[in-house]
Amino acid sequence: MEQKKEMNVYVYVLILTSVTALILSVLYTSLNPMFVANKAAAKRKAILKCIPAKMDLGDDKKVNEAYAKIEMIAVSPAGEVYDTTKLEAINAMVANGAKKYNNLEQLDLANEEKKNEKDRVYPVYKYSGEKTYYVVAVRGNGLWDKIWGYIALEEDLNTVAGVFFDHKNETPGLGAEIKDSEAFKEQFVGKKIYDEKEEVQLAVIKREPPKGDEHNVKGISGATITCDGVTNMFQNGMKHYDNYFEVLKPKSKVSDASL
Amino acid sequence: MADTIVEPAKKGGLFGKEEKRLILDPLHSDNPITIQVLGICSALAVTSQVYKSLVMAIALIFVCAFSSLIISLLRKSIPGSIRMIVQLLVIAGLVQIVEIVLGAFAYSAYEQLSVFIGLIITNCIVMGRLEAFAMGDKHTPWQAFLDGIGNGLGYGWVLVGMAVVREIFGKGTLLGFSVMPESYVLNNLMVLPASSLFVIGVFIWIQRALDPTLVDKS
Repeated sequence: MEQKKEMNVYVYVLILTSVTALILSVLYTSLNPMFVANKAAAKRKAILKCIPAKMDLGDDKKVNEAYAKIEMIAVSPAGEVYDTTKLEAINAMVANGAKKYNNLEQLDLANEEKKNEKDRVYPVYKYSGEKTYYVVAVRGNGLWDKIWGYIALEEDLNTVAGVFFDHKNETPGLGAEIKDSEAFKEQFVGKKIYDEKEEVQLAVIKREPPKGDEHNVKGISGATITCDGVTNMFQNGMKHYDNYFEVLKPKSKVSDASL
Repeated sequence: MADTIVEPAKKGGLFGKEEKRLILDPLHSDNPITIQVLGICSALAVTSQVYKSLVMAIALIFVCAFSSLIISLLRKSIPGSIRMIVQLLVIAGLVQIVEIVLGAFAYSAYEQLSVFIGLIITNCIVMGRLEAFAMGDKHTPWQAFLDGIGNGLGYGWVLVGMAVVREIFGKGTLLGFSVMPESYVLNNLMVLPASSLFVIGVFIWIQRALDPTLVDKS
């Protein structure tokens, strides 16, 4: 009696997995556009957050309004400029399983890292409000996993106007403070990235930097490796923009820096 | 309160004595975290902020309740040899639903919890309740559902309670609002995962001090 017809195990599993898969795929396809939109909005917000101009980022609509002042391009380390019309050229360089982009805004350093080094492109976001800011993206290694950030530069392409950091898996209260601590991020404002020789000098150091120091910010105690990661992120990340900045710099002195 | 109109013959109806016990016991005398000491991993990981732990608690209540319901409905048909695989499939499916829904409607929570939502699959409480309760022939699907909710709530209130303590002392805020006086020096230990071990310990201590019947006699 107890042994009464148990359904065939394979049939049972097949039915159950099909039903589960069906439910999940219907749910996924119907909700994924919202997820993608949320992700894009979060990225826009991150970029806008490091720009010191006053703006209200209360909801997605206001974020998009503020973001309308941003013009985005991508640059290669060699200094070639790709705007939205040249998306094909960027997509033509994909390799090693990197994804193609449907629009330039999807440009993502994590995806670029998969490409061959010479084919990578890096985003530049030009904000034209009362003042002009250039926002660049950097990415590097923290203690446990990747860290990344956006850096807003003043028109001189050297002075930091604001920063935004994020991380995948840094320790809460220690490494994660690069994102959470406003005091840490505020230190960067007004610092100079390059010295006279155009070398990247901006660094996170262990102690309070001396008064009038232009290049150093005080690190977070207990998070030395993450802070060193931030320093390296600047060292390695900014050099991709060198050639582009070179072209931009003389122009920016002549009133209009057209991208 | 007790709704005795529907199926009055069946052990006190929808909210009879037995059903009340299923909801209330896990809150105190059979609490999954403080008494059974299950689901500790996530209790350590997501209790640094109240908002995070609230979302986590809701997600777990949902997964626990519906997996119990589904498994209880299926229990007579599930082939014995793949019992646990089926349970896991149901749990994983529900967790995916939570993840997709959070990603679409509560993106900031999704970002903050990311990996821990996925880890509900391995939360011992969920599977433990399925094995111990929902699979049992004596319990109706409705009872299994309530058992799931009860255990989810039992897990949830401890989680949120811990998060309140940790956020107030570690960050000086509650749900992001500043609550401590300016002069308070933030206790960084409270932000670290290790502090939740102390906090859980104190919770267990207080609970047993208030109710000595919970103390293990041996």
